[in-house]
Amino acid sequence: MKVLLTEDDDKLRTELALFFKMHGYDTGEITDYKNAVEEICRAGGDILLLDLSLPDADGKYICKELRKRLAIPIVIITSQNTEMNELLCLNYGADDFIAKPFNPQILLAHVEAVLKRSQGSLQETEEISCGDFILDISRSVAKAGEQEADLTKNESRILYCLAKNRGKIVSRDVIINDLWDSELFVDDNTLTVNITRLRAKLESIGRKGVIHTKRGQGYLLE
Amino acid sequence: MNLREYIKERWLQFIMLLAVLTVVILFGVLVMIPNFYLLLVGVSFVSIWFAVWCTDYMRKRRFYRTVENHLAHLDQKYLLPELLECPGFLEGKFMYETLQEMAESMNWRVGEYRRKSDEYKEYIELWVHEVKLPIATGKMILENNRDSCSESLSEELDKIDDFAEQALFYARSNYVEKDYILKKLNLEELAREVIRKNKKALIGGKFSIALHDLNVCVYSDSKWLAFILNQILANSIKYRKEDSAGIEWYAAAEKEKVILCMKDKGIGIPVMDAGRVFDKGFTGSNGRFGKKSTGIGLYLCRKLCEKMGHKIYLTSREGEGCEVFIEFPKGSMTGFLE
Repeated sequence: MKVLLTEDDDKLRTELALFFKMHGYDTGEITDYKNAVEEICRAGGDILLLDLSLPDADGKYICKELRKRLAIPIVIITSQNTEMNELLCLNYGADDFIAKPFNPQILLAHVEAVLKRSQGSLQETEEISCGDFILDISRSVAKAGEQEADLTKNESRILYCLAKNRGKIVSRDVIINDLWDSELFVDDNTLTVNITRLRAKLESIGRKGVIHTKRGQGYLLE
Repeated sequence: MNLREYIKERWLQFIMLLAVLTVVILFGVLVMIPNFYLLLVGVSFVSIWFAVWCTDYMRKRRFYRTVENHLAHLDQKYLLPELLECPGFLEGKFMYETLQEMAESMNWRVGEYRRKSDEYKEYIELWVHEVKLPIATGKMILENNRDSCSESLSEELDKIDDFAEQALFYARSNYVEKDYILKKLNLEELAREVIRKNKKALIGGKFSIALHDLNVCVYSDSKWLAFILNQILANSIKYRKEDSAGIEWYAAAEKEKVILCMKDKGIGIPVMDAGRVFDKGFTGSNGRFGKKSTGIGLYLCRKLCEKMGHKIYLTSREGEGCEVFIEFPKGSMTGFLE
């Protein structure tokens, strides 16, 4: 996956590139704004982050011109965060609109969502292995052989979070943060309740005691 | 101006006229002019003056009546000179010319201030856009170089961002021209976005979050409304109770309107303050004791709501929490936009 960056502030562009590299993306930086459209076509990325106010060029114009030639998804990043701007950009063919300053994690989530939408769900891993049973995210069930247990949104996300870090301790804070990023606004008590229910459901498919509690540290999926 | 006032102002002329008339008639009687001639002189004397006063009165009355009428019906009273016609009598002309000159200088002055305030607003907008870049860069640097200070610094950056945003909306709220767009938007999405934005503070304050019945659409400017909800949420966070913090947001759809209710379990607002929290600069006892308050947040919320045609109000019980309501009209006007 290659992310193209058009941002005239060098420092921010460098940091963005670093950030996306850290999250496993290739990056390409566009710095010739006069011929931005040609350069973007030549660079050939999978998604474009476009700043609206560039020297020598207008982001909206670039957006409009690009749409005539390429189907690359475009995410607008701008500090001019008005409804009017957003409407214009979306009309010119942008796929998403994010206001500066953005939370990097939220930016990443938006980029992932746009990529997923544009490429269908081809690359999505719907099933995650949790050792000797499987979490099916699309159907929100835990499967062990023939047995299945339906999970709620919260439980499914918690299990996903633990499964991604299988064998490692995941602190309650990390789990809560992860849930909030998926817009599941869970407090401390609810998390405890959810974990208890999740354990009971896993037990019902014969996976008793796979989630360990590490006192004062968090949880661990074996 | 009415007749009595007019006559009252001319009592001296009346007396003089009477005196002259008396002297003339006495003189006539003394030199034995026949009564018939004296009567003729007297009557013509009086009627000539009467005619002079009448025409004068009518002329003035017409001009002053128009002035009075315009003054009573004009919304912006300073526009009066634009509506007047130059009258035919001397004082009237003088007054008319004076008013015209005053209007011209006033227009110039008002124009100057309007230009200055526009320039200032533009500068604030520009400044806020400028300052967002270093904030964004700072956040990216923190994200890429995580260490023990990152979280705390990132919180401070969020605060700077909030203050900058507030300055921007303050500048916009005083601007007469319309710079928002009412668009159909889903309350649930917006509420979730705002809550997610305040993730750190809400998790840190151990808030319980209850969102229900929010899946309704209203007409509003999503950026403006997000700012308003953010301010209200910031208050819920600021005036929380340490042991049991929580918010409950829900919407109620009625026939002509949708009401968004934002309830918190905070420390509430004292009865004597509740009516004034939307006033500019009002800090109340909660603001003065313990928590620092600027008295700008809710004032801005009300102003922005009014501009977009929403209604905002709150109810509160001290010690039990506070509930803020925003009413979105669902009238026939907004129906066109669908």
